[in-house]
Amino acid sequence: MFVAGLNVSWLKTPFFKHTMLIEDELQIVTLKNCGATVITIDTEKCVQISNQDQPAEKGTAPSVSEKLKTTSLSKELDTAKQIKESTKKIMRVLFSMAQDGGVPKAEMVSSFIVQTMDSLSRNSQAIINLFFSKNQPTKLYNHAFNVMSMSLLVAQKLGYSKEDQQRIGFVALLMDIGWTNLPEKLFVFQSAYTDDEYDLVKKHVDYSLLLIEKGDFDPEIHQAIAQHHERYNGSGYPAGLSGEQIHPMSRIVSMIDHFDGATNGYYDRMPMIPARGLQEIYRKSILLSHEPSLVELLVRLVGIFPPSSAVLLNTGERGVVTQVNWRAPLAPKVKIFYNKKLMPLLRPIEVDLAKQEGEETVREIKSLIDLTLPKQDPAGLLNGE
Amino acid sequence: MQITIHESDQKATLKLEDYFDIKTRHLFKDSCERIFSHSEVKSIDIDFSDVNYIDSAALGMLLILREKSELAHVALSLVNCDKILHVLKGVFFHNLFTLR
Repeated sequence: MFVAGLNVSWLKTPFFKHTMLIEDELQIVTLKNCGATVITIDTEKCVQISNQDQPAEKGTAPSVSEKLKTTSLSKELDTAKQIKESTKKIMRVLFSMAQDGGVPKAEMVSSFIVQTMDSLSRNSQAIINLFFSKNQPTKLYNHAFNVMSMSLLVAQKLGYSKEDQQRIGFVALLMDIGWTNLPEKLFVFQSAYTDDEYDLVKKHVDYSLLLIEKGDFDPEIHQAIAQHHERYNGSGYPAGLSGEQIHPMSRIVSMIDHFDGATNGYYDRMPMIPARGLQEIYRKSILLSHEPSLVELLVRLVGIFPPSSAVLLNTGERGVVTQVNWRAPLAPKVKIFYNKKLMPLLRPIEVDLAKQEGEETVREIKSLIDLTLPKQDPAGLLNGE
Repeated sequence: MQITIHESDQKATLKLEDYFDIKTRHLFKDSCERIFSHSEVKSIDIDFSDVNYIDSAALGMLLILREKSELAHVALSLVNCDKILHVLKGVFFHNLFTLR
């Protein structure tokens, strides 16, 4: 069943959107309890089980096929970590090769893109968790994997063909290869750029194109790389394009590029916790720096409390978000490390905030914990991998 | 690091030793240029039997050599790679190079 609207304020319901696919009883119970008396159903968008392999329609909830994951999160996480490590290695090789004047070719990276696409198809939570894992090296090769993997996730949810997913993978991995001609210190946050530094940074787009043009990539990839710093409202560079003038793939990778930069501290940005990074992207989308529908999709995919967010529960317990719940964004899985007296638990417990029927105390997230403040995490348990 | 070059007929072999890394860049580049200056060379073997370590810069050098070899229609092979095979396979070089 596809809900097209509810007769109750958005603020009074736990749903991120009032247009959504109903996939289980929990959502029905939540619907009953949220105060809505009239529910509008869009019968054309209702999903048949036989359509389970169809990609999710733009603007709808993740498809029913999300339920048919063939791999558990823990198993897929191991695989995804291996994919990330080997992709980082090949990117180091390519960046080093580019410094020596070597030319990147599609066959050098295509296997890694396909492996990432497959991992996302088996269980996309693994890649999402890797994106938000703490203590990542602030290196170009790490950023390349993060942008590639999350851009692929967005592209899959938008129903991109396998060929176009490959293309967006090439764009994300290689768009910053021109950075190898610039001082590395500019890539990692130290302070706001001076005007001269910013002028220099802008040149990485041209440097990337010079290298890519010698390779075997199709014109669409060139175009998308050329436009990956354009902004939806025309405030980007190098051409100041806006809206539909910007290649759709560029719109996706620029949003993820910005998001990874905000959460991991690339460019001239101080690193911020994932939820704050998401808020920044959301604010930027209101100013139309990024396409609003894409930002909405990203928020829905990574949750209001993305994995690795340190959270305070209504019980006074403290923990870390381990898994997004697409059907109930305010109720992710949380691993609890501290009791209400801020004492570390001998054995951390993982609770699914969406599945607490029959529990004496129903846990809810009260707020995010800012780990930069003192005494928030005395045993250093909320900041681990 | 040392590089020994053996040339016979139309075949050249570069035998590398110990560490193949960024510090070897100029030596490796010069050795390759020396081989390519002999227009009769039709195949090049890079012998890794005595190589104990290879870094990403060295892997990048191999990719550049691969590109040059293709342009010059020279067959390139990486031979005796046992000690570094896991590194080569980790970046899918077995799909890009002939390994013997």
